[in-house]
Amino acid sequence: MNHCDLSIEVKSLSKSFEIPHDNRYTIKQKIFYLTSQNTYETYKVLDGISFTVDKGDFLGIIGRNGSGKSTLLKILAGIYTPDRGEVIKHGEISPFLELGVGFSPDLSGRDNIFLNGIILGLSRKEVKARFEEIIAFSELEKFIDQKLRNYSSGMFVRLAFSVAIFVNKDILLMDEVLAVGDKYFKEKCLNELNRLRREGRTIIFVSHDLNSVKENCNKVLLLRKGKIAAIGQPNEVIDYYMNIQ
Amino acid sequence: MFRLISRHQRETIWELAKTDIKLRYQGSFLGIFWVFLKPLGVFLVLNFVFSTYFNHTPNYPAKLITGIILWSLFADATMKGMTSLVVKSHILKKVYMPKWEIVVAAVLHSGVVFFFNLIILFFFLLFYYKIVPSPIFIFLFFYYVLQIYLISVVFSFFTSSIYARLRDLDQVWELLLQILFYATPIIFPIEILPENIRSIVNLNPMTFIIQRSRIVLIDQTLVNISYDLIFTAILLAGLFAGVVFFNKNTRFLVEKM
Repeated sequence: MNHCDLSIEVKSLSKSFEIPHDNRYTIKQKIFYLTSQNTYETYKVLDGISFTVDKGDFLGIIGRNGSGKSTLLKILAGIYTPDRGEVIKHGEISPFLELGVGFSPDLSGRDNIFLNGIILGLSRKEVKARFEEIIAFSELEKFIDQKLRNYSSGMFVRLAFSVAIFVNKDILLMDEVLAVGDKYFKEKCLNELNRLRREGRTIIFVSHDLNSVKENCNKVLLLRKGKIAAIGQPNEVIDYYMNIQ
Repeated sequence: MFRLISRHQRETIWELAKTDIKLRYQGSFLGIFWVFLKPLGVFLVLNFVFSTYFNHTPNYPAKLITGIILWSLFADATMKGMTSLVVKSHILKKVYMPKWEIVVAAVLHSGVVFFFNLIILFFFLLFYYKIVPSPIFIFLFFYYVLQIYLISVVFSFFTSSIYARLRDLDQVWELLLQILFYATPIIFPIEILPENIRSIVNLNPMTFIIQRSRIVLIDQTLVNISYDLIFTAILLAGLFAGVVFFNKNTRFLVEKM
């Protein structure tokens, strides 16, 4: 496989979480428990995951709640550090793990676009240049100077998605962000994503909406208890998933 | 270390600080004027009470307000820096951002507020006391302000990761700040203390900075900068240690928040 066709390489990724049995978050508690060692419950959330993603792939990640999907995305985004294994990225990542990260209800739509754009990795110049396009895409021209707390949830999502979609990084990570929003909005988003894909960007998409996954993804990865249960063609993997329920 | 700060990192830090400043004074009735009122209020009360008692100290009120404003910067910046990672945890959990940017943005936010306070200070000096420091002294004054920034950043690098796991540290620090305020010669001139206590008070870095700022800005005398260079060298060493400590202790921080 030609090296430059690869977008992401994941090698033997493992991640465990330790949940303490006692809460020792304050000084009083620490003194109280001073003489005893805290014990932990260890959850192995990801266990030796390896896979590759090619440029232009629209990869869908599916699996039951708790199978490790969100943790995998967070490691890909650089938010969590894996215990073992590595992730090799050929390109920059734009994470949409949640829409509107950093949005402040007390600031106007305009101010929030700036902050969010910069948090997602754009330079100030780039945000300024794309400002009008972002507002146009969100269809919120009339409300852009109002405080975000006055927005409906649909407006919020439209604004957040508009900023995120203009952060033109090579790899997009999305964690069930299309769950909110009406049908019109979902279609608009998926059209945009497919357009980006035609431009050669890679999209990794976590969703429970199996129809969306079947319609849009060219590759699907099924996670089960932290391991890869299946990876391949959407129809095959999804059918397999339905059958093992 | 500053060579390693990219343009985007600077923009992110500034944007975070700007947002916090806007939010801080958004909903309040007097808005941005609160920035002035607090230290001014503290000054007016303390001056009223103590100025006659300490009137043998030349320019006591000017020295008092300088001390109060510099102390406010220290208190605000250390508190904001320490709690910054926890306060911004909702961002850290959803997007990749180098954690040190959040700490530095918090200290910067306090710094900007401090600059607004500086405006009253300068007005005061200019119009009330007719003290017009020449450029060299203003430059030296800002050098001391920079030292406070540096102390606050170093402090925050050490305490921010600890605060995430020890959630009442802010209350401990709040208390220590109160105590330290009286252990620093802000209200009283250092001369009234007996020699042995004076040497303890001199160990306080804020004593060093506030005293020298006053000498430079109000008395307008030059100081022996070798002490300053040693002080800064210690701070830079502290910064280095702070960065190492911070990197080591924030590696798995987001997972634990």
